[in-house]
Amino acid sequence: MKVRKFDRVRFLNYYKRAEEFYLAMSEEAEFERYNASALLGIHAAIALADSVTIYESGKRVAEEQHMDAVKFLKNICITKRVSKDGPHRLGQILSRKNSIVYGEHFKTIDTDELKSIRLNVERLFIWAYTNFKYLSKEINLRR
Amino acid sequence: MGNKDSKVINKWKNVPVREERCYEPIARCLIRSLIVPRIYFERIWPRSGGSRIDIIAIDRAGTGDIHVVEVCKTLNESLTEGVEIIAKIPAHYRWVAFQGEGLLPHNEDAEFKLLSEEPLLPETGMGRIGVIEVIRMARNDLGANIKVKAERFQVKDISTLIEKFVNHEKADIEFKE
Repeated sequence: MKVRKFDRVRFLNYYKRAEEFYLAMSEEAEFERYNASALLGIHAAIALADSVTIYESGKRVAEEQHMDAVKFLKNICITKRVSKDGPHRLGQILSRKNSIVYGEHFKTIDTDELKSIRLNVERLFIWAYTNFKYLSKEINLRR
Repeated sequence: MGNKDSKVINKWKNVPVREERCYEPIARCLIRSLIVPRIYFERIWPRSGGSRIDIIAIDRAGTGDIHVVEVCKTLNESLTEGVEIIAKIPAHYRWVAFQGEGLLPHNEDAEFKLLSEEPLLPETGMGRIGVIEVIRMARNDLGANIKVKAERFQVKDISTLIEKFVNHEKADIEFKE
């Protein structure tokens, strides 16, 4: 697994990005642009996972190594003794990325696949807030 | 808009609805700008003198900022009684809501008062009370829009209260784990 050292303080940049993508995901869904919404959800999930791993370990996996990000997050859960639901959901979200971004079929309706991405992203955020309480505290203090 | 829709709107134009019908569109409006919030209707918030708050939203799955909303009938009422009630509630974000477009006739005096923002600002310190307008949409559905965005108030020692409240109260709307 290729990882880079990161200053832990920089977790906040990833976390703010995660929240921005999340809000944009909800907004796009409201305007019935479901593919864009799903892609923003995927990016929200990646940024959220990065923010947690940077804060917890001072490291981040190399760009585009998304499945490594899942493994890395799982390791953190084991070390911190928190539920592995987060990495599990992240894996499910990332497994859909190629089909959403590069897949030959364009979906004009809100399919079960697109809905399940949003649902998994929402649940990933709940998992993060429940298990890493500093997330909401830190962002309020440093906004 | 179809002919039928416009007939429905005309039939109901400027007819107010029960206050409780406004709760859900307001909650949806807050959900659009918050992240996996927990929403509570008509609950007593600690340190609010025992009065029930129409809507409470706690951001980030109940671990973040608290938003409180006082739902009023008219814009004028929201800028007077509504503001008076909500200003006393210890919460990061405070909102008043009123029935506007398609529900009640336009009140120019109240609109000017809203434009001045005077009733929404505290005498000292940070924060601004936000304003939400509930509107009637096509097919008699209700929607809600933010007219004035709330600004964060400084509230001391509130995190323990939020934690206790979240552990004790079952949310009316929440995103499941």
